[in-house]
Amino acid sequence: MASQPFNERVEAFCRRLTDRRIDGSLAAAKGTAELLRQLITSSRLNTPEVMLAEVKRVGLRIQAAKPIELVIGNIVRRVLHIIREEMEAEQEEQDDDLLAGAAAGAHTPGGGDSVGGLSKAFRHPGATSSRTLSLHNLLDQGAMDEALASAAASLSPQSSAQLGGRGAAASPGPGGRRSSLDEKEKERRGGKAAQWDRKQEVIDGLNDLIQELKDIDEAIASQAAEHIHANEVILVWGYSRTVLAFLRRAAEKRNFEVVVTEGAPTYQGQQMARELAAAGIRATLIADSAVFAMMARVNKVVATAQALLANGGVMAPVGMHIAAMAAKRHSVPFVVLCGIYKLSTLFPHNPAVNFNDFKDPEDVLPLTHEAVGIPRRIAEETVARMQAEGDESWKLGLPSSLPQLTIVNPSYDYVPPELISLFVTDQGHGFMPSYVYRQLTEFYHRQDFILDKRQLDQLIG
Amino acid sequence: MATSGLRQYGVHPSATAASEVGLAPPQRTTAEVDAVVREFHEALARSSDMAVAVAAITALTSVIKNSTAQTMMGLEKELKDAAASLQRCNPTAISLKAGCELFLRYTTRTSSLESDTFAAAKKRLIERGQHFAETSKRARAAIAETGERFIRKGSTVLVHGHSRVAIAILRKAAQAGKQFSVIVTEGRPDETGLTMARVLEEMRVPTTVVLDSGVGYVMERVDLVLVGAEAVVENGGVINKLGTYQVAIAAKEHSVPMYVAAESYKFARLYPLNQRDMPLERKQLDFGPLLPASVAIDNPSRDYTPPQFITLLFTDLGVLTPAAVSDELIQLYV
Repeated sequence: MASQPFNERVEAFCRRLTDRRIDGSLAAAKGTAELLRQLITSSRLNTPEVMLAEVKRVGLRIQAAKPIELVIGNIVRRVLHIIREEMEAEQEEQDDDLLAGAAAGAHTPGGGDSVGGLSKAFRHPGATSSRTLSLHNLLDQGAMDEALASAAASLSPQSSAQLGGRGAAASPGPGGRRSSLDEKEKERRGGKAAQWDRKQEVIDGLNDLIQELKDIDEAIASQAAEHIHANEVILVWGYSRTVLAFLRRAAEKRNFEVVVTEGAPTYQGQQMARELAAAGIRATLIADSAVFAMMARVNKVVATAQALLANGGVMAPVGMHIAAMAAKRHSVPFVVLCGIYKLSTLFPHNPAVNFNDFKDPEDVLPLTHEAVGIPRRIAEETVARMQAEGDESWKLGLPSSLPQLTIVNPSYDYVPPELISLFVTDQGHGFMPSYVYRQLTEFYHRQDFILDKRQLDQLIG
Repeated sequence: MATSGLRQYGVHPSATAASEVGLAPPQRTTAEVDAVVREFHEALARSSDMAVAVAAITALTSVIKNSTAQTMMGLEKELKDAAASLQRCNPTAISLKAGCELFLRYTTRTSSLESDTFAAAKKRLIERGQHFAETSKRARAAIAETGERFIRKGSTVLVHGHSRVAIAILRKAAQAGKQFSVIVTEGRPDETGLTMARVLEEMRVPTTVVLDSGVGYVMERVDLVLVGAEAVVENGGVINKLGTYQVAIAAKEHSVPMYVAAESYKFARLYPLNQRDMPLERKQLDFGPLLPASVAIDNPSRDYTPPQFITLLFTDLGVLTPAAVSDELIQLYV
């Protein structure tokens, strides 16, 4: 079957994700987008409903391989959004045609007019989407279900087929509609495998998305000159490719200096300082603990984010919260650079723990360090002594009074929205944390906000 | 109908709510007024769990059913008058006003469509109205689902006031098997704390009650604050039982997140600039013979909590930040 190599490719990608062989969230996002593009271009997916279901299925499979990598879910939601937009555009065209036909008297008054009237009732002039749940169509939601159910039972197969299509476009309804959906599928296929007209538009949308992912750093860096001013002191934390590109671009036009924190335990800040110096930017390297002391002399903090959460907070490299608090204390603007593909629809239910990745404790203390060895030695000595005394209670567990050493090495910090001044994204303009909710509905459909409840519950624990 | 512009200073203990607001002369006959008000009270009595706004919409739906109007304009006028009568019998209930406005807005919008006959349009409106009661039940379930995730195991939740939506969230969390404990405020003078404690006892959730003045004392042990709302105002702030603002200030000081659970039909077109800038509702409070007669008593039933104290709102439209509330309202009313 043609789908076999595709499934294998998906599984191979998932294995690489689980083994942490995919370096960074951008690579994960690109991989997911490319797999989904392959999926959609396959000839099996001929109708939008099937496309939505398949994209969601494959997307959830990939997400399950690495639940903490939120960009996978984001890309899946972007693709679903592209498909749904095309579906809606198609419905509008059909409605317009229908109304035009009704005006010309082509349809019977009962069927055509009521269909046109119903669809107009559900559309609010200013809304971006008539299907997303909002205050103005709150009362319509229940009504849409019954209207479609009654219309599906109506006489003319064509109007019921179109309503069946609309029913599928709306939020999932009762099983009664599925019969009209099948009718519509048969109508469409007309006995042979026909393609959805808008499939090419969806593929174009996906191509745009993949291109967007390639241009992230460039798009963000192009705004650098607006945000960095002459003779400013900029503070950055550890190493970030995005921030580096941003600062290099600003250095072409402006004269400024940078303070870099080391970023323990990886000490990648040292490499950042090296590369900044190589780019001709004056750099000062400090220890993480010196951030508060230095903040009085800093004009701006430029930070990066791992994930942008739905309340305007971010998951940032560990230690960033300290820099944010020091910045707030000194009234220093805290600017976060990230691509919009990092925007997640999830809320931080338990900020310190959720969406955090815990890395190798050896980065903090190697196993050979005596501090690590001491508790182990004491435990062994205790067991040996108990065995010599004939005390069997060690089999049930060692006494809790023995010294223990636990090393925790979290990758990320949660920075709450009140500490962030501005987000600079590849979309070309900055926005404040309080505006994040608007970006959510621009890039994703509300019904996709939670892709799978069980996966979400497992993730947040 | 516009009562928010009036301010009263220096309240006499015997002042009632009705004397605070300027009443417009009744526009319908007493019999018709009685009918809609009676229907409203019946709807409330029928189900102890029904929200005020839902009962109002049920009453308005019955107005449509019994209406003798022959045109949409006539029907709209009848509805507007009926809504005004309902609000007169309880002028300070903001959620009632918000619910009526939403329903009226909806019917005026629908009526501007082309539809074959007036009878069909009327039938559709009746169906919508009946559906709304369902929407309310669905709303609470939807809110419980999204809000339940924010209650972590082992957390301590502080609740203030008696909110059925908040109870729904706690019940969902308890049913999910999460271990958490709740601190309730006493909630003088209507003792909402005791009502809440009884409900929580049924759910087998460990509950502690504190005096209203004990909120600052207990806040350092609290992981999150959960309250309902009588109304959500345009800037994302909330109007809720007296004491909510106090709880919010203590929560902010201790960096404790404050979550508000409210159905979307409670979004009101109000923009209070201070505590007195909303329909005042005062409740009688009797301190007994020891209080000198010349001492004034100021006992409003609710207060306004500005949006900067609120972390997130749980609504049936999803989890919203206070900033997102304005957006929703604009979309409806523009």
